[in-house]
Amino acid sequence: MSIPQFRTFFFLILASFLFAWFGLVVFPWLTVGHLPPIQEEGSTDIIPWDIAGAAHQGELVYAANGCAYCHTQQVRASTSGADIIRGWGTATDDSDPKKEITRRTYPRDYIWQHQTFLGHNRSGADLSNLAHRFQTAAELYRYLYDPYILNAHSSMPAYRYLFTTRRVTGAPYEDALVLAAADAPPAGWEIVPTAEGKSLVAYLLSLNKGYHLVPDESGVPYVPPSKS
Amino acid sequence: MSQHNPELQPEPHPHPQEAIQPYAPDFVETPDVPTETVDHPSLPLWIYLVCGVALFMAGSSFTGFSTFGMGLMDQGPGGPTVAAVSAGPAAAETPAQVGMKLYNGNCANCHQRSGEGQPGAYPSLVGSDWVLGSKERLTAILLHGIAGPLTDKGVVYSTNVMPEWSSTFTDEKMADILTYIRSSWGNKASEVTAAEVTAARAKFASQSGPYCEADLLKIAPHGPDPADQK
Amino acid sequence: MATLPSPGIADKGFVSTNPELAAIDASVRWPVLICFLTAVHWMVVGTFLLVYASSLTHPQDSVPGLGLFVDLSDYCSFFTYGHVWPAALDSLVYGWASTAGMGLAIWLLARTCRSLVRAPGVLVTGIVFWNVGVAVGLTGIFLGGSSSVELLEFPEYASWILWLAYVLMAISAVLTFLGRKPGHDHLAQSWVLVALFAFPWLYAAGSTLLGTRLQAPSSALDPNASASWSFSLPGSGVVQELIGSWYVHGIYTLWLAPLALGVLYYLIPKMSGINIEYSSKAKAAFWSWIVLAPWTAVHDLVGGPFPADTVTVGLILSGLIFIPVTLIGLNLVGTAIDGENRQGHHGGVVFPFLTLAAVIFVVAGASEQLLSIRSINQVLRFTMFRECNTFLWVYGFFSFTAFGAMYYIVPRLLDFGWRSALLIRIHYYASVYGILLVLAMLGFGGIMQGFTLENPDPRVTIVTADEVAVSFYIGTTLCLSLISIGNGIFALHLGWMLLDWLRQQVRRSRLASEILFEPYVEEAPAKNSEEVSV
Repeated sequence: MSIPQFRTFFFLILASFLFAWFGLVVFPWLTVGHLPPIQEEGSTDIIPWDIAGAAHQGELVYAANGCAYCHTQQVRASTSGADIIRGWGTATDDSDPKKEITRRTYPRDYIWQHQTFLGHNRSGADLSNLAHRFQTAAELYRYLYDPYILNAHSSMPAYRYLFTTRRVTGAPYEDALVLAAADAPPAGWEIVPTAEGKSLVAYLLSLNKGYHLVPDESGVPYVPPSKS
Repeated sequence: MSQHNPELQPEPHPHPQEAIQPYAPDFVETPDVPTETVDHPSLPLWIYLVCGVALFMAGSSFTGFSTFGMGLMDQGPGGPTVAAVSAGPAAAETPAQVGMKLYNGNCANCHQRSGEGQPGAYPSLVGSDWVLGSKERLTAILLHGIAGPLTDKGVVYSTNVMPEWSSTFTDEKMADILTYIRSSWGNKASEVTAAEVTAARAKFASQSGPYCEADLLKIAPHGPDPADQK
Repeated sequence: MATLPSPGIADKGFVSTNPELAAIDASVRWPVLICFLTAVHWMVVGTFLLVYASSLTHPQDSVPGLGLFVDLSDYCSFFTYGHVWPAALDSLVYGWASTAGMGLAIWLLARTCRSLVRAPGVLVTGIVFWNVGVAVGLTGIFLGGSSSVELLEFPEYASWILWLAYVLMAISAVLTFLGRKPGHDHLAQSWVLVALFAFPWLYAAGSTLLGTRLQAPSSALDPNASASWSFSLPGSGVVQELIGSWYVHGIYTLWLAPLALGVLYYLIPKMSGINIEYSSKAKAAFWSWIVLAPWTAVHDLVGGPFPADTVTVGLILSGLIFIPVTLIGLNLVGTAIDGENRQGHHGGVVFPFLTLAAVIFVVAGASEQLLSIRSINQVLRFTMFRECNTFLWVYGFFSFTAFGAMYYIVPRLLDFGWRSALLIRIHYYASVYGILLVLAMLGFGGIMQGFTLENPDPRVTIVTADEVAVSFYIGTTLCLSLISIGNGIFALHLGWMLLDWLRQQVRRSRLASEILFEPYVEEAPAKNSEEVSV
């Protein structure tokens, strides 16, 4: 290759790279990179709700422990997967805890997460609406401490390093684990989640998509028919 | 000089039986671009056939699926189904329907969606004496859990602990779950109301920790619930 | 006519018979050797971590003795899958493949350009920094600094070291290319240059857009720092996932694959004695590959909450990947097979590895082609089939090329032969059967797992899919163990060869000093070395 040939070669390579860069990064960034939350008419609520600070700290614990290598956080439409049939698209309705909302996920569902964990592997269940299946922190603490309580052959590790055993001083701690006799700590001791464990559970409890979004994401607020 | 010194001659191979047989291309410096070529006038026919099939597949995925347009999210064949999504929450559900969802979300991990459990570990709920018997006793199990072996219809389930659910579910949700398991998979027994769960919760409030089998049989022996006998 | 070393001789006659190439090999000897040695070290570390990570995916009662490690992982975060798996993958991709690939690139550029290596000091500094960066990054992952972004798990501080190291290495590589002699063009140069240009773009974009945080995790958990824990990534939400997929597939298809293809385009015709078959199509293969291959990124996006335009266009473009795969397959596999038939002899040390690498390239391309079909992707999307694909690119295609090339290059650099034909044979067969079993276990297992996950029966749960997958995970651990035996034997063989070579060097330098200081007398018999040795 002579120098002019090399220059042409270089620009052609650059153009090929730019082609994929534009299609996979720039175009999505322009279309879904800066979605605002939407506001229902006649209401001061925004959809989706912002995530609490503790949940943002939990994102870092979720990342550091590599949960995303076995769990996804995306529900595909019923036309392109069985996710809805598996029950992963079912959330507790934000406005009425007795009702459920079942739907796929959209980009606007993730706008408040500082880091998204959509995942590539379903060795474990999808966690998009985990807070619908585990409604209290106590259940999640117990599950993280001993996943085999629900499935004896689970391949999920027990996250016991997110807990610490300490002597009870004064009143028992409200988040202390309630365990069966075989696993319970000796009298006068209690098993409590660490700061990391607490923020992880705060994050997991924020995973619930109990609101409606328009299917085509064009930004028009969607009003559920039942409201009238 | 070195020709006169035997120490500078190549060493014999330390393991002659493992010596690598010299193979010309490994050692001889051949030209980077050999002049000899194998003559091929054009690509073989099968390449064109394979390409044709692959192009056809690419094309058919393009026509069968064409959700182009700014703002649409990837959806799969059929395009956006606006009608299905905007149908909104369904009409009021029966207790058994609510119970089924709660059951599938919370209980089916062990007892399976079919209610059949897992042999030796998780009792089957289908036709079980414990499920179809006293409502009060069944509610007590759900409220406080079970530890230790449990016998049902001659089969012993020994390995696992059932957790307590009293802190998880409201009385209404518990009643819905119990109604569902008592009326599904061929089970036919009366429904459980929220009032009955409230009463049981008050009655067994003093219980701490899970029940064992003997405690449960003290609450009520096997046999149909009084409500079912009438 | 060059003479072959006689079969009983293990330490002479391996250096290139072309004096110009011999000088070039001598100039790249140390940088390339350091690359290979450190790369093999990371390969051993990564393979060990991979087998351990794979064993963690079984239920603890499936393998005797596994319970101990599972119990350890309960109480100590170091031993959990979420820490070990990213560490294993990163040490294979950055420690093994990228370092070995850099050594191959330098050797290939110097040879095909007929240019002595330029700025070797800068190059060696870069290699040392690169290894420091990998070590720091792996430590960071184990200490809880992982970002969980695939292939960008290294904490921010490690990515800066890697970035600096790459710039140093690339300066030397580009200078070497610019010093080429007129008339010495080779297609392999284009492949290597593409890789050298692609990596900085990929890594700069990936590590700054995804790997950067304003606050490290430890301080984020400090309640006193609650006002400043937030970190920002560009764009909100799912754009991060699109950048991540672009990065991962870019690393496989625009960084590792071109490096290996450059080696194959150089060595396969050279060793088989015939020019590349269909050589007129080689340029078309090159350009169609670099235009189409990065679009395989959409295989990780189908059906998800991503713009439909990107996914549809991406599936169509990645569905055309059979064009470069077929052409490259014809170029390489065709030449290898016809060359062997033409020469009438099969075997040797190097050629089987290279032929197999070319075949695995076609297999990996075919699996990408499968994933570009929407209905198949829907089933395989979240299963272990994806790991199968990763292993085919990194462990299968790239590693086999690197092994073959190292068997070719190292004797020429040292003028010293490999020690044992038996060890090479074991390495070859362990690798072949290992990668075939990976295909059978992870590929077929992924299909089974996918059909369970996509079962329309609502009674099927994740527990059912887990039960289907678990036997395939156990099988995967077994075949990864087989591969690790092969890789370990390669590492030991390389170490043995270097030790023997060092011993020979010491002996020679001692004898040389003897000859310098002792007067040489024609009639006197040579002195016995034992008498003077200390």
